[in-house]
Amino acid sequence: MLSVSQLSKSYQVRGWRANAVAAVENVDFELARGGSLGVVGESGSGKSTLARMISRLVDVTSGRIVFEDADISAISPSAFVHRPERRKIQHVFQDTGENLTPHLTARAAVADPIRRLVGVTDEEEIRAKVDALAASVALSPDLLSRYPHQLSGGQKARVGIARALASNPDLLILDEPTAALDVSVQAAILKLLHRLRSEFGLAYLFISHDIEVVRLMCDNVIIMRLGRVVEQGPTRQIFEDPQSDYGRTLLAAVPRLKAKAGATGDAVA
Amino acid sequence: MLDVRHLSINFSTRRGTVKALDRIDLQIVPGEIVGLVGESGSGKSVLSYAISGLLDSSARVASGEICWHGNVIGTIRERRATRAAIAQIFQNPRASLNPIMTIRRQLADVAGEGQVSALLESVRIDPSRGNHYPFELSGGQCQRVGIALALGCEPELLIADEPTTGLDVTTEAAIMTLIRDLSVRRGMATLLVTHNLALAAVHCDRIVVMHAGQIVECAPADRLAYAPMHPYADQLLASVPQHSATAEDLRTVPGLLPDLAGPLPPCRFASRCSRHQIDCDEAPPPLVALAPAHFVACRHPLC
Repeated sequence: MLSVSQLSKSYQVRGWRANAVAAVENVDFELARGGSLGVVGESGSGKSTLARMISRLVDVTSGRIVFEDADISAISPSAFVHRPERRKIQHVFQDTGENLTPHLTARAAVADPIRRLVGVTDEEEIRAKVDALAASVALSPDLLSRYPHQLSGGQKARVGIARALASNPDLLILDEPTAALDVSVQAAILKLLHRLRSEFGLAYLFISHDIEVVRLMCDNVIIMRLGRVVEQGPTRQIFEDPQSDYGRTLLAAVPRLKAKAGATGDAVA
Repeated sequence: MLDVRHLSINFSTRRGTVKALDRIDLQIVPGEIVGLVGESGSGKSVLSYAISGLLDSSARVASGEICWHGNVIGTIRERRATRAAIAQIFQNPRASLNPIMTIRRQLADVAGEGQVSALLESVRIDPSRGNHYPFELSGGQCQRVGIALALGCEPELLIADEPTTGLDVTTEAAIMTLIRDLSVRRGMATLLVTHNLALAAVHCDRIVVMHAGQIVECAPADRLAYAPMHPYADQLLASVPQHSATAEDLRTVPGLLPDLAGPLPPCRFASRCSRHQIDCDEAPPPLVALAPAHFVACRHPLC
């Protein structure tokens, strides 16, 4: 469904030393319909730039993005808005608090893509669709009339996901969807995303710096560092036997809780 | 060094009085790294702001006090003597840096020009980045600059509010090693506010668990991580992704935090608790030592 080859993005830096900064360099991957690919790497490794290129929010410097047999890499972000693919690729942003329009209620935020991208005009139909989406993401209907500042972090995350699902996408790009949430809420959102993937037949491109989250959510994984892919393959394989030095370092650095003592009671003084 | 005694803080809002902290007792000694964990809304940040003296004027101290080296210090915004001694790393890194000053100037401001390169290197940022403005750095880099700024004042107590969210694990480990190193070398104490229990378990000496403005459990890190006694601490631990093999196995803490502006039960966890019994509603559970250095506020603890 999605095939990315030799994708690169460089930013021109101002000043007389006009060296371009390579944010993403020569990234290749394939993502099948219904598949899930995790992208992990440190901050500044180009994960978000990669995601933004695929959802066509930033220009591509070189390389190809082929989505359902159409090369979308050459389309400018402003022209992409009018393309049929726009509806099929949806982005769930990093900070749930800052990406919801502050003066739109949750209902209006979710209704907007139904109106603009799907082209539904019948208000009754839009209403019913928003209600159904709210039910899918387990957002209680009385919260739909609230504004973003009246919602908790977890509720805002649910609104962001419902909004992304509103245009019946095939590919969901999730950029750190749980980074701002605490563990318990994160667990609830991850479960929700896992369920929605099979329910809606979605493919996920899941950006996260949390390797444990990627392990739970993704079949395949890419490890990025300084804009380059250092390792890619099936999640299980990379977790059990990372091949690159950086992959090994990354996995070794995860703070781990040992298996809970519980039954053995070895921690009881 | 730091002694928080029976501290209760209320906020007056249009909706009524929000009882944000309820009788908090917390001591920190030099060189100690204390983890403060709990859900969002549990009062972790309010407590850390109270210690830094950064609460705004809608905060009211209903009871208790904070002592710093034996002297009572205020919790509400004031210029006080502890400004350099207690440093805070803020949650939102980009918003806490000055957008129109280069990184170098901001660091030079607190630590002096000569220290800038060393500080940047200590948080793994190339010193040549010093001439950049915050908007030119990634979120993680801004966060590390925030950490360098806090460490630049050579504090006696570092309050780190989610210092490593958004950083990858290798940088996170480097930052925590740096903090540990400073606590060993200089006796710097650290209050690590986080919801990452695995991080707290690995890097802290002691973990304090907060729920709805109350401390529910306080224990040495390895005891809390492997043998929690409060039902809330236990459920919080179970929701860590590491404990699940697949996404379906993930567990969440049932229910929601109680509304802190409304009437509250004596034990604020009661409505979410599976071990709740009638005597829980009689009086607030006292924080008692159930094992050496292991304090739990529950009438029906686990184990």
